[in-house]
Amino acid sequence: MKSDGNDNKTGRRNFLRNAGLVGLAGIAGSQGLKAVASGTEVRTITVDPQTDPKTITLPFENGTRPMVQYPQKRPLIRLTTRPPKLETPFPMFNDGIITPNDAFFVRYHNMEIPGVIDGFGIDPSVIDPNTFRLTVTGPDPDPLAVVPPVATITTALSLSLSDLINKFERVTVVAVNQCAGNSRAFSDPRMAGGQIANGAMGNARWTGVRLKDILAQAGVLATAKQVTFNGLDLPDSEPPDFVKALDIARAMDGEVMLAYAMNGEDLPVLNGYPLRLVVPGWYGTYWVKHLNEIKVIDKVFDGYYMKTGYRIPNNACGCTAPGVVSTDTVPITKMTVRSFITSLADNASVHVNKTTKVKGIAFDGGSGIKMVEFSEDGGTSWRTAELGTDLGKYSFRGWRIDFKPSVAGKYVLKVRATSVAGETQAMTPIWNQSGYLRNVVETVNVTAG
Amino acid sequence: MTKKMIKNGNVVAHQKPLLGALSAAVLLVPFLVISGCNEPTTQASSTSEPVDDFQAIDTFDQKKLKLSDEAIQIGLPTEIAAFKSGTNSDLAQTACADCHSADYPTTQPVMPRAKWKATIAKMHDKFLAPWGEIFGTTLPDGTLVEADAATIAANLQKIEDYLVANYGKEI
Repeated sequence: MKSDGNDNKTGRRNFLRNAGLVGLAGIAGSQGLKAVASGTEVRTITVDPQTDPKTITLPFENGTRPMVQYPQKRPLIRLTTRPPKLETPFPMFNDGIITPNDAFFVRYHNMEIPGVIDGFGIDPSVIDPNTFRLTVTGPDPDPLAVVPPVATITTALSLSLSDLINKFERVTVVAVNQCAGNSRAFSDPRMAGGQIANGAMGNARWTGVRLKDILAQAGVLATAKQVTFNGLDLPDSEPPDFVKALDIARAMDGEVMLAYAMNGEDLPVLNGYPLRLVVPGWYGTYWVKHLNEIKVIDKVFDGYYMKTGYRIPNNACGCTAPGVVSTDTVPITKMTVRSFITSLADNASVHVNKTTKVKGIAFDGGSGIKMVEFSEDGGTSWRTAELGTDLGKYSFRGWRIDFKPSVAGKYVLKVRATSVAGETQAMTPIWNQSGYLRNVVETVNVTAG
Repeated sequence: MTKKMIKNGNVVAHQKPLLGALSAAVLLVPFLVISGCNEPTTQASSTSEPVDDFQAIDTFDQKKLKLSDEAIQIGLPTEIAAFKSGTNSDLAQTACADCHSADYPTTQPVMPRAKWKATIAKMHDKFLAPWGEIFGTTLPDGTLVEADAATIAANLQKIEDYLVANYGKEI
């Protein structure tokens, strides 16, 4: 309950507000606090209450949504208010292959978001980049155990944002962050869950440090099995905190990073300021926001969002026959290959005997896009599209092709990407109980006249 | 701490002038070239034809980032999501919106009774909804008496009926 004094929650909240003093308590605590109080300006960003917003209707049952502007954001499609889930209006993806920060989708599990003044009736809090600390530790001690936990690292770390910016090699990757539940509302049969169209994805330049370099400084031991990631955000009360885990091999692969910049500037608060995990090629569920706590553990993490949530059927396609619920599941990881037409909306009109430049985007789970094909006859024949700037194997890849209908009438346009790894898109959608992994060949119907 | 209030998401007004101007200039270049930024305020796009950025070279420079050293707070828009009025809509509002906004259930597809029943069960079984507290009573001295199992079951049945009647179907 929001109104109750939950010790654990209060503790976490204090950690947020006095971040950086924890672990140094008794050494420089009050001095640090004083410096914070005297030296840090608080920037407050608010928006209009928007109690009567415009709406947009997405193409599925019960698809009407308000368009609402959040701080540091342009108006986005609001799916839910508490916690916030905001979807990018699809036409925005035609503006370029980099998704602007203010257009990037938002999705939380936890109710209490750091930096939010009074949105959910929680205490005022600030995110202070000067006092923020990222800790790297071993497993939590079991209060009932006689023996201490297994050592998994040689040195526990408490790193400031300045440490991360100045003391580690800086790296940048352009990578797609796509919500695991993106496109869920197109599943047939549908299922309960966040009813998202295709806009819970975005492609940004993430700048920060390699997770591998951080873990190297902590001195990972052979006992390490997984690494867990937690952010400053908190559940309302009892529900499980949002914590994710990676196998040690993935954590140490040099690709996973901690980003302190998104498209060259601070991350928006609602995208994880001041630091988020970036797991290129994998679904957004792993990209923990407001990341402040890394633990190297000696077993497989069994938290809710690994053990119960975000799982797919344990088979090659991650799918079942429509409507069949699988009990043999594994955590969702790598994204499937997808492509979209962005320049034409469904039921658009084009000119007959004139060239229309059709363009769009394609991406996959990290091998890169080898080919994009386009069909103007519903998938009977295909032509290869031209590919745009290559911003790396984890990025959106732009594509374009000329379309010149010679006869007036209806055309069924389709687009199909093939990844460097050889994966491609099917003409019929796969199905699983959570609506994950959707990557059917997308269709846009147009009329030439 | 100095507080500065900036309305309507205007986040650039409070940058340190030198750093802000420098980094804005640096940042505009890659976005113009790569992202096809067509902001009417930028000189390049207002004085020339739109650039064909389809195969443009990436000029992003990670050495030049625009990072703030200020603490930040944000205020969110008002929560307006609500259940349709109907028998027991108040109960649904109390029980569901205690933990999450009403748009969680109201944006679901029209689900059969069995799915709504399973969804309500999930709120407790997986997300630990504190039904005893939510359906409990508060004594004059402020003590909360948790609801017993029968009271909880009766209330959840009413909520299920409400959701089926307003956002679902029997089968």
